[in-house]
Amino acid sequence: MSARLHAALHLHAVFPALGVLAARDPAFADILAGPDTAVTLQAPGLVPARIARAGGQLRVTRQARPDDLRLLFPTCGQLVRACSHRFALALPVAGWTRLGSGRRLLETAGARLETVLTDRAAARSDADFARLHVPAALTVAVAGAAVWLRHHPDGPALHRRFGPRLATFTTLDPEFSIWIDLAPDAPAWGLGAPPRAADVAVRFADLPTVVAELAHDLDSLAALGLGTLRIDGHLPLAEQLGLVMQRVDRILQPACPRA
Amino acid sequence: MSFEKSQVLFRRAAAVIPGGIYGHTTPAATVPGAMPYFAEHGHGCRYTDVDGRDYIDFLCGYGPLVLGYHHPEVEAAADAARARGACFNHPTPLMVELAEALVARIDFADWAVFAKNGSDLTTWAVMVAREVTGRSKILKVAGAYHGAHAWCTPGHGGLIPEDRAHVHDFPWNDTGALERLFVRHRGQVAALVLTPFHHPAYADSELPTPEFTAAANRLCREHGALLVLDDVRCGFRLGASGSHQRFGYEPDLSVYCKALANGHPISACVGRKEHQAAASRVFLTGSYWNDPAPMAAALATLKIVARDDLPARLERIGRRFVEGFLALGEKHGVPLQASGPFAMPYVRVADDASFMKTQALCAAAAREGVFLHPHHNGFLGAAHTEPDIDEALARIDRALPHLNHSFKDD
Repeated sequence: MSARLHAALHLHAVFPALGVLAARDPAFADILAGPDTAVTLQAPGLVPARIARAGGQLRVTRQARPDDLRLLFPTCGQLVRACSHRFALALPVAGWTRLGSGRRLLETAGARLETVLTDRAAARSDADFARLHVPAALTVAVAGAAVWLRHHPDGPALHRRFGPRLATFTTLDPEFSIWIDLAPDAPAWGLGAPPRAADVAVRFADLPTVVAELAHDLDSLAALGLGTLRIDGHLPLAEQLGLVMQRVDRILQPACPRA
Repeated sequence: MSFEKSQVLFRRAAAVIPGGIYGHTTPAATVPGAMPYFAEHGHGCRYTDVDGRDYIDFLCGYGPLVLGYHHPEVEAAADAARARGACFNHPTPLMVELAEALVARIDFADWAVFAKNGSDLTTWAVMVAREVTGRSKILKVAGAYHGAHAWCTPGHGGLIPEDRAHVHDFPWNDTGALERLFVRHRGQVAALVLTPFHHPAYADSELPTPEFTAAANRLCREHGALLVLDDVRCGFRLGASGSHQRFGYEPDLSVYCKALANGHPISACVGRKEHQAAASRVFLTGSYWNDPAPMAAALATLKIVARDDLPARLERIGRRFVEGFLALGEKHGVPLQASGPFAMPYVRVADDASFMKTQALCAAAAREGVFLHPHHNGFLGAAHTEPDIDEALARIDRALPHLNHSFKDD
């Protein structure tokens, strides 16, 4: 597994979950109350990730702006080290006056995201916690699949085998929907309604089912028969995407972002 | 529509059985919640589920029920054998009789062996090919199903890269790709494994082109590899002597199972004299593989298949079903398409890459008492009479207007 893939997963699968979680998690109230600030994380050969706190909201996008604190990791490996709580070199190439506030934003938000993503025991036992865990973890899984298909050596071939199909993933509790579009140029993902009709629609009827699925611990055949998991359409596509998500999970666990 | 007893039973199953129902009969592969999960009893071309709903069956137990449930001649033969005993210390004379019957029936066959399932013998045939040739490589078609063993399972769990290290896929009917694989692995290919026609799940069936069949025969001869025909699904449905003659294959080994004994558990592999010694060196056994009752059922089934010219009958009755089905689609504005031989047709909604419309079609048909599979080819059997086909079409005629409505909702 390459450092580039690992770094891309952090930038474009894990960090986007910050925005999803911040919009739902009361624990983010103090974090969102801080001053407007934006941090752009960059690594060679990868599109940057921009984490911006503005107007009491947290947004994660891909376009750096001139007044951002811009942290450049000289290698993808350094970015992975930073996200794995190891010493890493990050150069503040712009906006260094915002270094303090930007660093505090990354540390506090990243720590909370790590807890929500990785504490699967709490997700199993505490429904309120699970309602935070599910959207965040599902975002990492789906966005991670898009990243994996683009950056893993086997990804483009598998992407071609999928064809230009679209899959949706919906949970009824909490109400959350995310899609992945296997467009020929590059896989894309998004929240809410998909841009076109789905080829496969995966629906989780309850929290335990989706929590178990995200932990790769679901008896999915049984869940399908029981109706707690419903897959309409191209089942093999959902199955293959599930395998990709499992590979993403193996790369990312247990480390999460904390600059 | 309620499947209450199916659901109750499935909840019990899910508590004590991984998957609840696993393998090809899992509800997950059909339309969960809209189709039955458990069967109660059957007769002819119809069966009843645990909720008491009757279905005209176009899946025939995923193939084995070629003569229908409870065929009197087959059951009488099996009962007679069973009355004499099961699972002796030795085979019974029935094993020799069945091997002789297959050797007499199948033009290239000089010997036969028996097991329980197709997987048992497709895997054994691969081992025989390796024993004959002293080579490792196996060529097969991408998406083809040859069983549940590690070298070919469509599943994902429990596999290691080494399981497939010597298995190479190519696209169906792609003669160039097949030739390139033979060249790339010159001197290493033990076997080319093919089904008579391509019948993948979640895709249309495809018949072989004459060029492809000829190339398969030629390349195996030129490169000293064995041609293994996996006739598990098609055998004795498309030809009373196996399917190879219909398409022009010249196999070295052929494997049969589903239609061999009308639902009784037995499979067979036949081969040529020159490979008999090598075959004898590849260990083959199972605790129940000599059980006489399925062998008696196989002898009775083979006799009926030939006596009644079953393949011609299945072709005729299948044509009636498929053409009637397509006409109903036209009548109701639901464009349908059919692929595969009439005896084993796959009918689905056209322009339905997601299969969602086809799933809705099968759910609607089930509500009217017709069992169709949304992602797998169907099967006709001798028990399907013309009135049965007409009744099934009348039921589908009632189902299709509901389907059209659901399409509009989309």
